[in-house]
Amino acid sequence: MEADLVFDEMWADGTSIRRPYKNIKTWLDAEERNSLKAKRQDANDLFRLTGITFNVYGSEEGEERLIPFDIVPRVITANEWNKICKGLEQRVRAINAFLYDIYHDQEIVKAGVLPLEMLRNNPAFLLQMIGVNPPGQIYTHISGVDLIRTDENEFYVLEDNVRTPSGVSYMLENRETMLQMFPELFTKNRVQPIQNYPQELLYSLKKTLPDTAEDKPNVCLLTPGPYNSAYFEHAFLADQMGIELVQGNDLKVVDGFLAMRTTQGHQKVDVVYKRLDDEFLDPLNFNEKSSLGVPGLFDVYRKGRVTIANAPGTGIADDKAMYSFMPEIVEFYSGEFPLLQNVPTWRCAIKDQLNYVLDNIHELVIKQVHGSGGYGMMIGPTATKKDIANFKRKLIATPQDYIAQPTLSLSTVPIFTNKGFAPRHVDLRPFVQMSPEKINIVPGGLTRVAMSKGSLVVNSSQGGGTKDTWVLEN
Amino acid sequence: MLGNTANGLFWTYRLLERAENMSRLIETGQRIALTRLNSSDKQWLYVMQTAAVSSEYKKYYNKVEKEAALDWMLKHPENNSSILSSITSARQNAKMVRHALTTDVWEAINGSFLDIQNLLKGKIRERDLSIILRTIKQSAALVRGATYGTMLRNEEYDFCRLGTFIERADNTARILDVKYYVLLPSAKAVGTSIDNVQWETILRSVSAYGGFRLEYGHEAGPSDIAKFLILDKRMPRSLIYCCEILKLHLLSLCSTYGNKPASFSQIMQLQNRFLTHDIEAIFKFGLHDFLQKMISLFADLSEQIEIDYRFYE
Amino acid sequence: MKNLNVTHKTKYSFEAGPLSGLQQIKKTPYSDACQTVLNWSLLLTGAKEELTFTDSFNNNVSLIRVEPGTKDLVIECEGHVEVMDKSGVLGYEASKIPLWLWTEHTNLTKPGSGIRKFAKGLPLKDDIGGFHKLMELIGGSLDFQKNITNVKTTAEEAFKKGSGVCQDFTNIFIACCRLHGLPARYVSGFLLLENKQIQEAMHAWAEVFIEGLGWVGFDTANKISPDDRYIRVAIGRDYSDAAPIKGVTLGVQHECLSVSIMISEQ
Repeated sequence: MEADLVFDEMWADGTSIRRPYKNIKTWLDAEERNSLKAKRQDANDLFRLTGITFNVYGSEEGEERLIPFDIVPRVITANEWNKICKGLEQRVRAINAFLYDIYHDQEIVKAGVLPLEMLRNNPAFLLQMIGVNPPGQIYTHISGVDLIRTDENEFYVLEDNVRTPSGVSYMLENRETMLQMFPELFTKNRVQPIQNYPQELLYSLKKTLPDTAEDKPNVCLLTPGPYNSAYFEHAFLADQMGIELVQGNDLKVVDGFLAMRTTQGHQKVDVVYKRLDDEFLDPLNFNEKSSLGVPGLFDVYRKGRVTIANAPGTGIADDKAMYSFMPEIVEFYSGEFPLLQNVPTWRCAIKDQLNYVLDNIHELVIKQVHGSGGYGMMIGPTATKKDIANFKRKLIATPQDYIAQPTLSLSTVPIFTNKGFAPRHVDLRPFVQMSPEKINIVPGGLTRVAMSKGSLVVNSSQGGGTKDTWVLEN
Repeated sequence: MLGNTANGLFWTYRLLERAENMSRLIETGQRIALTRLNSSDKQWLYVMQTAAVSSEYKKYYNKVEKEAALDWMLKHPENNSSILSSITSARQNAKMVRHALTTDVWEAINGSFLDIQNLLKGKIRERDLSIILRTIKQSAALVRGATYGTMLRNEEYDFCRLGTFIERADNTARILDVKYYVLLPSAKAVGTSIDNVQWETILRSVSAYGGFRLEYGHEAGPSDIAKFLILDKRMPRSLIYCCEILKLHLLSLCSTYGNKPASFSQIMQLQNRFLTHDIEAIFKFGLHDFLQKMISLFADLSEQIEIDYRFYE
Repeated sequence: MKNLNVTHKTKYSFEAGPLSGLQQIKKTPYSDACQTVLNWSLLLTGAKEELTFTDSFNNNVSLIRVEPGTKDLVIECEGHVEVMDKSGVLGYEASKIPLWLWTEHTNLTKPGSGIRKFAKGLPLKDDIGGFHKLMELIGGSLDFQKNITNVKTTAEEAFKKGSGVCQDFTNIFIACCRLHGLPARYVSGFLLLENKQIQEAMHAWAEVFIEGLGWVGFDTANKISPDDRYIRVAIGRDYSDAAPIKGVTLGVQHECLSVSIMISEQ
């Protein structure tokens, strides 16, 4: 990617500061580099002490790492944000309608909009969900839609996360840290607050109750446990929402309902905020070797006696192959043109497209259809010869497992490095809450930033960092 | 409140208390080694016996040496009662019940763990020992203070305190039992005095050396030590004090939940049957038998609490 | 038309000590184009029913909990079903399961080289005769023999062994149909046998979706289409979807099973 093609959110054309960043620039110019270094160290110590770390997979001791935090905020104007919100709302509603359809009459397949091949032998298509009517007809209570920006007016959706989107605790803690470290910034800038996210989520979940719920519905967060990479987030959210943090062995089917084991016996649970992969949810109905789940939970769900958020089986919608159909999906269910663009995507399962990909592999990003966290991915322009040869072999052997996209010029925002300020590529994950009543989008989201120069990989598992994200008031 | 959460809180505080007790024992051992002319490495065997970690130690080492003993008690990976192990498990439990702790308490526990883990990295030199032990004691005080100052006085607090005092009662009973014979009335006849190294060890292990002298004076004998650590309600590590606090919190749970489970009658019985007599009666019963009985009763109580409040499925 | 009376008693004894756990029971038939369930009851000893629901296939499922300390679990079903003889033609039905799903192989029906070779060139399309021919051919290459295969035996394994029970016959039949791209499914149910008072197992057969007719049944083990002696109980892609009992804690090696099924005409 040519450097001059990259849109920098602070220095649009390279000479003058973009308006939303004016105050930030003034602030940064006035700060001593050493004092910023000290502040950065403070931030890290604070994260370490609070326990905002993620567990590294594959390390037995459960090694804990900090996600690098950068002190320069990323700024979005109210106008830009309103546009994004409209697009997100349209997209999330369409995804929810798509899920209902896929697990009921599959009109989209009958209409010839989605090829049947997309469902056949797709492990993300959950047979058990066929005919299930989730409370309130909501599948995607929470979505994390990854956006990238390429210039002043262009935002693209890079990925839809509707299984168990994570990262919201970083969004909240990043703001908390900035408030503590640089309180004066928030008196000089009118930044829309995000702190209500947990309460709003709880409200939203309580609007999606099963019919059997009584006056005081009981909501809990189901975690795989302290060794999970996102455990901190689970504990953090449960604490902030004021709900119980439960593991599989705290829950049990009792008298036909889901119940949690309290100090005084079993108590009915109405809503499970699920942070566990579907496969492990219920050994009786899914992976029988799972010890993390709750036997019979899915049967109670089928009976309509508990809400699971997000619903099992939502993975069919955020699969990378399905992504390429998202414009058609949005149009099919909303009757409107998509407001948010998709990144052009080649489906390697299709012969012509595979040939194009093989011919142009040096310029493309190759992604594994079922991969996540930046694994199973190759970035053509920066890949070694060996990587390219390797991926070509994989593409030819199992083309259906891959898609390819152009290497888009992700926008950059400055970060503070030991050598001063330097532009780095970013993306944005806003969090969308959905209930039968409304769609609620917290003004902001998680800005992930590739910490090394020129890198386009923002995933925390691959060394990416985060920033506080400001949506300004009008 | 989840049974599992009660379990996590109970064990967080039990393990923190355990780490603190261990550090106090090491401190005692170290002090005696430095201040007594005739002390030898054998002293450390006694310290380990008191901490109930000597038999495991012997599986890995064939003789008692100061360096090995210290390493064993501080952080040996095979010793799951080492300070590092206790504090790591305490923090792991705290992590599981993070949502039931206040931010202050969690940060105190997490920060203590990070500091202690850091101090115990690499080889421990003797000169590092005092800073390590001081940090552990200060950490424990910090957690206690945060707990005292910020936790709501509800069921969660009750389970934290139950964990602390079950562990403490067990610890005090063990410290006494290991050298119970030096506390028997007959010991005085042998002509020993309060200067006895054994007595000093016992008193220092429970941070009561000065307090005891102040309260009981120079004339006090070995049976007074037993009385002090078993029956003195002013002494925050005595068995009766632990028992009172346990009773208080079990009663509080009874009133929260509106029932009186078996654990409550157990603590009432324990106190009425064993802690209402004077020290002479205890000697008559047999000090060793008495202490053994106490250790097993507190263990039973701990088990009954687990059952009553559904710690496990 | 026949009015059939069914009693079905299954007893599990846990020799390795008492067990507890959840089980899904699929032993309750539902009314359809060929049968009307007049009454049906499920009686449990050593377990309690947590809830009943219909699964994705519309099967009636009871979720039961084996009570802690149970040494003998007894499941007794009893009921009356009125069955019509429609020569195996069930016809079209309302189901959320799309037809294409029935053409996908499962672990149990996935064909290997043996079945592939066998099924090649078979005239399976929309002519009923082709499927009767298939039943004949499977009957010709497989002996009906107990205790050679078990519930985990795949179609291909049974085919290679050359023997099996109704499950195996059915799985092979289904595998062949799917190889030809036809929607096919597994049915578990009861069969009235004139010469046998007490049966030791439930029966199984297959159904194929034929354009113009809808679902049509084929009992490969007996080489006929189901008539008014057949009661449909549960369907699925293969045995495991329709299994009468499925649970997390009951391992085959830990239980001793006794089954008695009595079917009589009123």
